Amino acid sequence: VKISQEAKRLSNQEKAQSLEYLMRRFGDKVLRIAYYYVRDKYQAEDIAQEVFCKVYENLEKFRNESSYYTWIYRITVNKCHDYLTSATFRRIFLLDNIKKLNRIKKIERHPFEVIDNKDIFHKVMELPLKYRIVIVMYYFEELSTVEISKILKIKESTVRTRLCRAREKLKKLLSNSREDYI
Amino acid sequence: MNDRELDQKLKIAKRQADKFFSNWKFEPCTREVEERVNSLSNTSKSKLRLKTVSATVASLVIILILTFASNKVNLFNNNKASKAGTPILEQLIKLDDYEPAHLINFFQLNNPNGDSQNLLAVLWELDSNGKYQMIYNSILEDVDIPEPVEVMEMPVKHNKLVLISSKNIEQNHLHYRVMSYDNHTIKTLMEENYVPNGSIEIRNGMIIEKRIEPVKSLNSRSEEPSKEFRQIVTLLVPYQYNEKGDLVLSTNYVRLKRGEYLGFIGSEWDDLYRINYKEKVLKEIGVENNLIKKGLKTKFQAVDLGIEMISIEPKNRTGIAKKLLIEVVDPQ
Repeated sequence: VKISQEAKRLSNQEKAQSLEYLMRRFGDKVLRIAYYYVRDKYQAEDIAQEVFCKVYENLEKFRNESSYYTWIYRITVNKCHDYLTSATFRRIFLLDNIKKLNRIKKIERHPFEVIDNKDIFHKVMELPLKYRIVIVMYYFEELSTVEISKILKIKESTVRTRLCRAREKLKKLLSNSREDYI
Repeated sequence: MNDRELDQKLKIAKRQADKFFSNWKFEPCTREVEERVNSLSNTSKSKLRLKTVSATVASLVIILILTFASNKVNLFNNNKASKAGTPILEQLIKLDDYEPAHLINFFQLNNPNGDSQNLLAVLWELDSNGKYQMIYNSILEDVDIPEPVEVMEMPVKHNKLVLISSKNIEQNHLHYRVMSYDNHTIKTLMEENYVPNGSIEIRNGMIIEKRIEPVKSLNSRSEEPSKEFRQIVTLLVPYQYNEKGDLVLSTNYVRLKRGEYLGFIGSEWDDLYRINYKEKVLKEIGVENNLIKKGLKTKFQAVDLGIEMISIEPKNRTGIAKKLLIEVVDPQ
């Protein structure tokens, strides 16, 4: 990793102070967004750390950026995509699927357990990635469709379409959960 | 499942998500980031050195790197001794459609004891010579995190509202300032300090303030602290007068949840107004019960569900009254 020439205009102390501020201001949010992508706390922490290393490298760009949270969230999304397409993730994913199979078997042993409100958050997290992300950003993080489009680098109309489809999928997911267990 | 049911479910899901993440803090990771950044910084410097030195003097390069590594600088050890005049946050904000952007800085001001950290917010404007001149400053006491500055467009031409706020995360309080900008002039509309568990944001043409106060603080003068707390939400509608003397509001419609408060803020230099309403959904709260002390002109509480059109008249002015639609909905 190299530090850009632009970033060198700032003194190390200035950069350290800015980074400290950004970590305190956005650290928790970045951690949440990373988790929405990777669904693993420790991996999310690792990604969040990488995000702030990247932020540090590009601090000069940040200084004149008015909507800097968009910029930091965009870096987070990129880092998460990198991770999800990496070989490490694929290895973990295989193991995770085995765990999921075990969990499904356990649930099957309790067919009369009613799915109640406790499961809604987890149901959202089971949505396919592209639908999950728009739902969590819009409803949980309360970002506007314009902000989401900037963070995900997609058209605002695409965000709206995905939101509609995600809602339909979620309806089915929540309805199926009830039917399965009643 | 219909859309309404799904909306309800998603609200529940948001609360569940907030609860799920409530104990997740990035703070423990900051140390690791600092170490990684330090090591990255040193690695990069070493690589730059290597490029400039010929391959034939490899042994000399090793000595240079070793020497350099031994003198590495720890970026984060010197944080406390911040350089005077170095802003910890710098943001460009567009306050004037025809003028260059204004610059806002937050400077750190530690007290001599070193046990309290204050921030100085300074708003700069470019003059005709291209030099920054200070047009506003305010000290925010005992806070450490400046929030991003928000700007709201006002219906009166070239007029903007600026919201500056800052938090102390450990002690859970918030300070904020609301100013109006008009033609190179800044007027302070509101100043609030030490708002407990406070948050402030601009949304739908209003400023929304949230705080958590002991339940009895509004009704009782007892000095015993109450153990019960509640969240108090106040929607603040900024008002102004246009060139004709007509009252102008930043919104025509306010949706309140029952129990929430509605207030109006405007410049001290403007005349006060009279508000006509039928006391159906709103009840006026006396000034002595106002939690917001400075800048708030009138405050109401949403007491019943329903819709009401209220009329706000400019006092001692010939301008026409302004109508505002109020809707009070169930908090659930």
